[in-house]
Amino acid sequence: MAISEQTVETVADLGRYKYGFSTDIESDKAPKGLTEDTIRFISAKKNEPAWLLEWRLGAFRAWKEMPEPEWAKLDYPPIDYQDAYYYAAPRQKPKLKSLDEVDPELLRTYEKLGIPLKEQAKLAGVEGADEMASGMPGVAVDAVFDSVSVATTYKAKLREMGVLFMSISEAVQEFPDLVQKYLGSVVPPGDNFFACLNSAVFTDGSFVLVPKGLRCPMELSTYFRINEKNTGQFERTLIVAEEGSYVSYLEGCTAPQRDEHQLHAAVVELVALDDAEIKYSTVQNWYPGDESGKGGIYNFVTKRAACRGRNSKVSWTQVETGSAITWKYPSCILQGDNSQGEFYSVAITNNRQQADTGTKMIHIGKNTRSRIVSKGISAGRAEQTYRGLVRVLPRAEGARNFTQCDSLLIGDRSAAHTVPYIESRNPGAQLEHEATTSRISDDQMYYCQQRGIDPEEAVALIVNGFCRDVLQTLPMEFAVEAQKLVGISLEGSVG
Amino acid sequence: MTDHPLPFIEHLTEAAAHLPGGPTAAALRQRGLDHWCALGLPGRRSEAFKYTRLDGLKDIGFHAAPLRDPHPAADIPAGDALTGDAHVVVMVNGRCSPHLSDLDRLPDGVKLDSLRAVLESEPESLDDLLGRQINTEHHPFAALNTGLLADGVVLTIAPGTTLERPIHLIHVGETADHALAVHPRVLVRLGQGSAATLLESRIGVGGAPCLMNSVTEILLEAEATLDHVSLLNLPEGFTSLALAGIDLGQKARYHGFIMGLGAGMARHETRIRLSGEQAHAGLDAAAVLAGNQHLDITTLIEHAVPQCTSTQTVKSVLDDSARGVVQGKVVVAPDAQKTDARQQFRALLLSPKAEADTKPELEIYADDVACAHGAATGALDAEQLFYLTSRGIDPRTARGLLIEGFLAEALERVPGGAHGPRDSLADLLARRLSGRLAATPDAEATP
Repeated sequence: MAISEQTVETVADLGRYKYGFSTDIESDKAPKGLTEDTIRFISAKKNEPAWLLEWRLGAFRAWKEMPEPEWAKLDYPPIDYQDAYYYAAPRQKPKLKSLDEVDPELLRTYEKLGIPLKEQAKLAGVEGADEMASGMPGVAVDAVFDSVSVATTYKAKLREMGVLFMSISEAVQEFPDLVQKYLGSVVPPGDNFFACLNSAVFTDGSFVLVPKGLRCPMELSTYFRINEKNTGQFERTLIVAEEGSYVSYLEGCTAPQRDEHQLHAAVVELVALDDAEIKYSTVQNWYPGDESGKGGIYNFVTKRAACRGRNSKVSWTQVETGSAITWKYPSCILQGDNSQGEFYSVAITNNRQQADTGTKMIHIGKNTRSRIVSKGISAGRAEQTYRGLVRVLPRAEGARNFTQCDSLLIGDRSAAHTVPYIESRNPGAQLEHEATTSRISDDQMYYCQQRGIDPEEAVALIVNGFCRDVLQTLPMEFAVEAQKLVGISLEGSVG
Repeated sequence: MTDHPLPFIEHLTEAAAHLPGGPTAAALRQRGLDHWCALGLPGRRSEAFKYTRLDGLKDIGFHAAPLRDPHPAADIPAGDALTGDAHVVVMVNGRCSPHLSDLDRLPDGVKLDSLRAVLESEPESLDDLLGRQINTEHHPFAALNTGLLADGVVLTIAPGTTLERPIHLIHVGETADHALAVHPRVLVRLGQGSAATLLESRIGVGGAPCLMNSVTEILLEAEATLDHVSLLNLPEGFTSLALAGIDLGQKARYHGFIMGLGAGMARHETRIRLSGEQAHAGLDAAAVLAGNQHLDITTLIEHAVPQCTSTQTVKSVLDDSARGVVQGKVVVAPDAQKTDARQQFRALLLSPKAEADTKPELEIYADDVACAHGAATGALDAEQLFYLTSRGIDPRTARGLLIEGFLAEALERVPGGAHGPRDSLADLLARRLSGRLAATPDAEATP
C-alpha cells in the first residue's frame, strides 16, 4: 500500500521516465561507423595487448558474414550499423581534489540517478572518498558512462580481501592473463550475431574475481548509463567465482530520452567453479520510447553462466521494464554435477514496447537442478514473448527442472506469448512446465476499489502481488526500487 | 538454395498433363508446384521442422504411384487397422479402391466419392472446399500434395444428418521393388447440425520405402459435430506426413484423437481454426513408440472469434531410441475474448536412449482469456511401481498397468460403445504393450 502511494507520487514528481534527461559533457568519440579502423581505434584508445586486438578483429570478420537473427517475435526496422558511434568517452580530467572541482554536469547526473553522495564523491574520482566511506557496509559501484567506466568505488577495500572489482579495461592492463583465460570462454565470439558484434567493439564493463573460499562482504554493482547521442553501448562483464566463493552482483541501466533508437548489445559471462555461487540481479530501465513507439533503446544482450564446478550455483534475477526492444536470454550451462541454475524474471512492457526474453538451462552434469519463474506483464499495445529452453543431455542423470511462466495482460491491444522448448534425453530427468495467461480479474479490481483504492493503485498492488515470487529474490535495496518501477511502468495503462 | 535437385520435381512436371479435373484443379496444382519449388524440403533452419529432419527424403528415389487403379492389394494387413462396424473406404497408394470398399449401406444425406471421380464429373462442387483449409505457401508438403493432386476421398454430409456408424478410411501403402510416394487428399464437409464419426487408419505392407503425404481438409458448418480418430500404424520403412486443416463454424464441435503406434518417421500436423463463436475443439493424442521410431505431433489451434474453447492432451510413451516430438500452438486473435484454451503434454521416457522434445506455445492477442499449458517429462514413478509390486503384482505387469493408466486420460475421451473405436484402440494398445515395452529394463531395479 505504502509502496503504491509512493508510486503515484513518484509518477507525479518525475513524469513517465524519470531518467530521461541527458547531460552535456564533452566527450571523445570514434569516427562514426564500423570498420576495422574503428576497432583498431578502440583497441588503441584502451592500450590493449595485441592478442585482444586480434580477437576483436577475428570477431568482426566473423560478424560481417553472419546473418542477423530473425526468429524472435520482434518487429523493428533494419538497424544501420554504420550510423552509430562505437566509442564515446567523457573527456579525461586531471585528478580532482574535492567535490567542488568535479564537472557539475557529471555530478548532477549521478545525483539525479540517485547514487548516494559519498559514493558520488568516489565516482567522480575524488581522492579520500574511500576513507569517507570506509567502515560502511554497502554497495561497491562501477559506473559505466557511455563507452568507459568512469569510476569504481571501494576498489581498494575489496582488493585487500582479494576481490578484484574493476572495469574490464583496467583488468586487461593489470591482469591480462586472467582476462585472456576467461574472456569468451562462456560466450565465444562467434556465438551469435550480437555477441559477435560486442566481441568486436566492446568498450567497457566490469570484471570481478572472487577468490577461493571468500564470501564477498558487499554487493557489487555496475551502473550503466548511455548519454551521448547516436552511440551504442557495448559493455562486457566477466565474473569469476573461484572455489567455494560467493558474490552478489547488481546492475542498473538508464539512458536519456531521445527520439532516435540507440543500440545496446552487451555480453555477460559468469563462471562458477566448485561450490561457488553467483547471484546476478538486473534492473533494466533503459529509455523505453514514448507512447507512440518513438525512440528508445534496442537492447540485445547475451548473458550466460557456466556452472563449471560441482555444487556450483548461479541465480539470475531480472526486472525488465525499459527498452523499446528487449532480446535477452540469461542462461546457465549446468556442467558440474549437482550444479544449480535459477532464473527469476519480471518483464513489463507498456505502450509500444516489445520484449522477447527468457532463459536456457542446459543440463549436462548429474543431479543438476534448474528453476525458472517468469512473470510477464503486457499493457497498452505492447508485445511480449517468453522464450525458454530446457535441455537435458543423456549424462544428466537425476536432472530436475521446474518452470513456471505466467503472463498478465492489461488492455485488449496487448499481447503475450509463451514459447518454451523442452528437450529431454534422460529418462531419470524430471521436467515440469506450467504456463498461464490471464488478466487482472474484475473481482480483484472490485475488491480493491470497494475498499477505497483507486484503479491505478489497485493495478500496481495486484501486479506487485503477481510478481512477488520474483521480486523477493532481489537484494533489498533493489526490491524496493523494483516495486516502485512496476507501478511507474504501468502508469497510464488503466482508466 | 540446395545443391541437390529438388525432389519430386519430375513427378510434378510429368503428372501435370494427365491428371484429372478442369482448369481450377490445374491452376491449384500449378500453385502447389510453384510453392514447392520456392520452399523445397525444410532445411536445418526451419523452425516448424526443428525436431523432425526430413532431408533424408531426397536420397530415396521415390517413384510416383500409378494413376489408375492398382491391382487389389493381396495381403492388406487388416489386423493393423481399426476394427468394428463401419462404412469402409480403402485407398491403396493414394487411389480409391472401390472393390475393397464397402459403401452399400450409406444412409441418405451422406455422399462419399473418390476425389478423382468428382474432379472429372463436377469439379465446381469442390470450389469452396478444395484448397481452402490449408495454405500451400508456407507448407512444403501441402504444396507437394497439391501439386500432385489426383485422387482421394470426398465426404459430404447433408445438414441435419446424423450418421450412426462411423466412416472408416483405410490408407494402405503398398510397395514392391521400388520406393513409392503417394499424396492422397481427403475432403470432408459436414452440413449444419450434422454429426458423424470419421476413422482413419494408416497401414502398410512391403519392403521398399513409402512416403505417404496426405492432406485432409474438413469444414464443419454451424452446430456440426465430428469425432475424428486417426490411427498411425505403419511399418518401419514408411514415412508418414499428414496435414489436416479444419474449420469450425458457430457452435460446431470437433474432437480429434491420434493414436501413434508409429512409422519409421512420421509427422502428424493438425491445424484447427475456430471461426464461429462458441465452437469447441478437442485434440488428444497417445503415442507409443519403440525402436527407432520418430513421431512428431504438431498442432495449431487458432481462436479467431470470441467465446471458443479448446483442449489438448497428448501422452507419449517412448522406449528404445524412439523420439517423440510434440509441438502445440494456440493462437488467440485480437478480439477473441472469453477464449478458454488448455494444453497438456506429457512424455514418459522408458529408455536412456529415448528422447522427448516438447514445445507448447501460446500466442495471445486478447486480454480476457484463460489460457494455460503444462508439460512434463519423466520416467515411471518408482513409488507407484513399488506400491504395485509390494502388493504381489510382478514388475512387468505393474509397468504395463502404469503405462496404460498414463495413456488412459487421453484415450477416455474417444467415443466408445457399439460404434465407437475405443475398444478397438484399446486392443491395439494392449497388443503393443504386451510386447517388449512393459519389460523390465536391466537398469531399473526396485528401490
